[in-house]
Amino acid sequence: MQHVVDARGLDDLVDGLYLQLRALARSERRRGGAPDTLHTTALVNELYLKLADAERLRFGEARQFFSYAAKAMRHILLDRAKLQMRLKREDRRLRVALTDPDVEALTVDPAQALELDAALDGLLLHDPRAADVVELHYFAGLGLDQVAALLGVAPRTVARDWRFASAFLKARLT
Amino acid sequence: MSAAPPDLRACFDHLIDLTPPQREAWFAAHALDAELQQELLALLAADLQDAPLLATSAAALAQQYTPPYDDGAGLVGSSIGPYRLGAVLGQGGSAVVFRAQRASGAGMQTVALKLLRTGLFSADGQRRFRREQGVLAQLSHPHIAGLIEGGISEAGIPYIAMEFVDGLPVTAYADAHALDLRARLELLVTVCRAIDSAHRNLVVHRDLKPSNVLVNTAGEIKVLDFGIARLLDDDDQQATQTCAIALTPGYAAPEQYLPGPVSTATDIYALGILLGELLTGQMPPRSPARADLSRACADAAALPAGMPAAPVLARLLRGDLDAIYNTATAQDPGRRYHSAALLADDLERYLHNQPVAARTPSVWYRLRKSMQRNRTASAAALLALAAIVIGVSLALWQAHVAREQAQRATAVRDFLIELFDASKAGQLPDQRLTLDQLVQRAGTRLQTQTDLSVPTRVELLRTLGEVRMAGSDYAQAGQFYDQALELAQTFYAPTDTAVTRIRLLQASLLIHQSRYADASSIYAALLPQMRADISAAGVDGLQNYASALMYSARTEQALAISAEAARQAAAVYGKGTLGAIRADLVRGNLLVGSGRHADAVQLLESALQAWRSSGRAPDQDFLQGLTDLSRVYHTLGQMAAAESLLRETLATAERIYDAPHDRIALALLNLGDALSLQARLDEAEPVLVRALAMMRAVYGDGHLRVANTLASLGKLELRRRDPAAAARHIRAAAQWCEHPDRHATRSCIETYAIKTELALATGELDQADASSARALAMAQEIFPQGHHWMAQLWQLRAELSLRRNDPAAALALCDQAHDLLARLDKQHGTTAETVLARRASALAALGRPAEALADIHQALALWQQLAPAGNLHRIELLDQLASLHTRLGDSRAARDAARRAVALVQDRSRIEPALLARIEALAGR
Repeated sequence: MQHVVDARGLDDLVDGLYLQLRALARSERRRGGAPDTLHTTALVNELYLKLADAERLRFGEARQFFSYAAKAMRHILLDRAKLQMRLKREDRRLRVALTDPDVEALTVDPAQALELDAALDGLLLHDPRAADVVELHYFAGLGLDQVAALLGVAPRTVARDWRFASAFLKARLT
Repeated sequence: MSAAPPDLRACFDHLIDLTPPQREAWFAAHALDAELQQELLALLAADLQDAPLLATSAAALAQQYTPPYDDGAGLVGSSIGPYRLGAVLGQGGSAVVFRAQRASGAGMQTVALKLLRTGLFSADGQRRFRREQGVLAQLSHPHIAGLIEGGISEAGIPYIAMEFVDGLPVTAYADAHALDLRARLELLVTVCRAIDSAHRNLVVHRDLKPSNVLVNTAGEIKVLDFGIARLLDDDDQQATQTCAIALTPGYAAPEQYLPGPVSTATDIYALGILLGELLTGQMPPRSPARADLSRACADAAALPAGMPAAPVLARLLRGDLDAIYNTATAQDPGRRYHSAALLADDLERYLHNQPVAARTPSVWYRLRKSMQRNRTASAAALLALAAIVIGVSLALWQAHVAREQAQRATAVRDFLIELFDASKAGQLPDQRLTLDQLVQRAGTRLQTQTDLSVPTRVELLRTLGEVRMAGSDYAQAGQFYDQALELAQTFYAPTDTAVTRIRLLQASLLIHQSRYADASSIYAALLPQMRADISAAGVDGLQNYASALMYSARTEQALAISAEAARQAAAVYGKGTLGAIRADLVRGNLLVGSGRHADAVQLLESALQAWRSSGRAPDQDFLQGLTDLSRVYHTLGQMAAAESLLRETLATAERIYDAPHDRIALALLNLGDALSLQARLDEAEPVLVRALAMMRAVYGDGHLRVANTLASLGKLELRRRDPAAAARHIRAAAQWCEHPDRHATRSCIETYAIKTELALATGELDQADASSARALAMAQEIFPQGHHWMAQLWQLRAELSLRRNDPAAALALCDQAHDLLARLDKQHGTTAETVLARRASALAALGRPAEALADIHQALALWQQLAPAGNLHRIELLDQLASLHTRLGDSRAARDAARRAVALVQDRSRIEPALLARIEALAGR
């Protein structure tokens, strides 16, 4: 069941995600990485350039693109949260200048990001479509209506999916 | 609602629309199990809560968690492991590189020390880091900056110490020296060869770019950071498999953005981009469709120093270089050059004004053929398989083929590539499937997987047969061919090329199995098709037919077909072209085999000369020509000419290929054998030892070629009269032939002959009897028309008869051997000499010393010509001579002979004590 997203709307979706990804990539550069650094974020930027050309998206790869972008984002978040946890936990000896954290600036406990990741695996078992919605909405940053268009279901259904999914996930956060 | 068991989502969806009292009533009315009820209550409560986590977007949160980076300047002067950090050399997203030093002997060693920004904290991550690092440390190549060591500092920060390279990125170097097109391409060829060498060690770079490809102050290419990207992957498989974290935009291949492991094709892509950047001075345009460098340079604002102006450059790039670039950077990894060596070859072909493979499907075909011929084991076998896969797809895809065929090529490729997944280059050696397992798996899968079309399955079965044939498993290859043919006949007309191809392969399989007569009948039936097929395949078929005829003793017919093959080659390739020269070389090979030595010398000399003067890069066919010609000279007893050709073969092979390589190893083996035959044993030994090490590196233990080399070393020790050392090598060599499913091969004949010699030297007569009988049976099966090895085996059995006191039988065997050699025109070689000496012993034992004397004189003269340095054997011949003179009553001649023998004695321990006593007594008289 291939749902064809209208190309115009699609471009907007991609652009929205691109802005977020680019913000991440920019912050990466501010942190001292040269333009040619090895890092997921810079790459997601590149991923956009690769896949955003309308030609390919029209061939039904939009879903795949956003799904991959979401997975990349999920990986980044998990990776960074783990890093923060380690830096907090590890012995002072381990904190060398290269990795010294700025712990005060955190608004959300990184442990929650880890819990979220585990809870999301649980959600996938209960309700795969709701898990897809989380992926596209929370990680890929698409609006719920856009998610509905991409998944080819009614917006109302996606709204209910999100409500269930967030209750499910919140119930598992400490 | 009550029918189906209530499920969490359904209940939640229902409850969420109700007011709190309605919900209570609902719970009261439904007897849910306690766990589900509790879960629902938790969800309903959570629904009302706010979670800052979900309110923030993942991207914003990730940004918050990302620590600010330090430039590493604060660490200058401190120590990491044994290293003291100096200036910062470079920054990367995941690492900082310092110039660092450590005390080394009397002086200081300077290294480039890479320090990871984020630690590898998990035990798994650290273990993996150490394991990978061990693999990289073994990567040693003059153009790859070596990994010196990797470690994890006390503070848990992983570091990698690498060879420090003082140099410029290759692009900057080329611009700074205003290099022209040729010089730039030559630099890239060197890079490709270095990359290929690493690929053959199963290490993929994954992050090739100008800043990792330096030219040092001595003008040498140095590739940095090999495999480092993989080393830096933390966490589990997941990270490497699904999130391609380590790469550089612009140089990264499309598949690196998608889930799945990377492969050598990834590096090929980056090499293509590097090519574009070197030639146009900018990152080439990237688009899913074909992109041409010539167009990019026409649009370029500024071209690199040393390169011609845009219109001229565009003309130079158009065609071949555009095609090479597009092949290297194809979106689909399967359409790229399947190895960096092939890319290098194509660049070299361009440099030598030869047609490039990227533009000529027939070249792909030939490459595939040569892959099949020469890369047959372990990692090399996988490359061969890949070559076949890509060969199939390209051959079909490039020649403006019908859509249906293109789809089939893709299906074939996908099927095989799926099989590769478990055995791709880049994975650790212990995780790779062997070729046997791979083919087994493919065969099984083909029987169960019937959704592929008939043509596709035919093609796959045939391909699997080819792979098995290359792996010398002829029984299984035959089964695959039979299945392919059976299936093909249900679909194609009997004269369809698809059917012909399978039958040609069946015939060539029969050749491999030494069933030349059977092969000839198949070829005879296919002759009309081969004649009509004015293509490389037709030429190959005719050439193979000629070989089959020759080996089934129909020499005249063989030469006629071979001449026809040469004419067809001239028609296909054009007179005087490389293809025609190649065909001459093949014909030369046939002439050598059929004993037409004078004709062979003439044809081979002129073909090799044509090749040399064409300025074309030599390749394996040229090497084969050199080897064949050296064989003729050897047969003609012209040892110096033979040796000089073998030395040229070795030097050429070393120039064309990076060691270790089977062609270099083969050249070493041939040279070592030639030296050993001339009894220049101390010169031969290091050559053969090198050959053995390289054969092992290329093929792994237990391969035919390794066994051949061991046999040669065994033979060398026998010539040294050191049976203990010989026994070690020969036993190891014989293992190959003793494998249950091995059939008769030339190598086994030779191995069993050497085993016989060993058994005679150690006095194990029954063993000698058994080994020689086995070798003779094989020889008679393979060479019904006779071969000089039979003469060798007969003279060994003559020795056996002499030891068993049956000189009459010994003489008969020697006479038989002598006649065979005369018939084969091989009266000038070492076998002829041994037969003469043995015949003299038999005659002496029969009480016919006068006749024996003539044979011994002849043997001595021949030996002088063949092996002037062969003193150990000369002493034995002189001892025989002295004894004969004694028996004939000429004590003066006997004493002279004994004195000549005694004068040659150097190491007394190498000479049989009884013989030594005998000649010393005679000489002193």
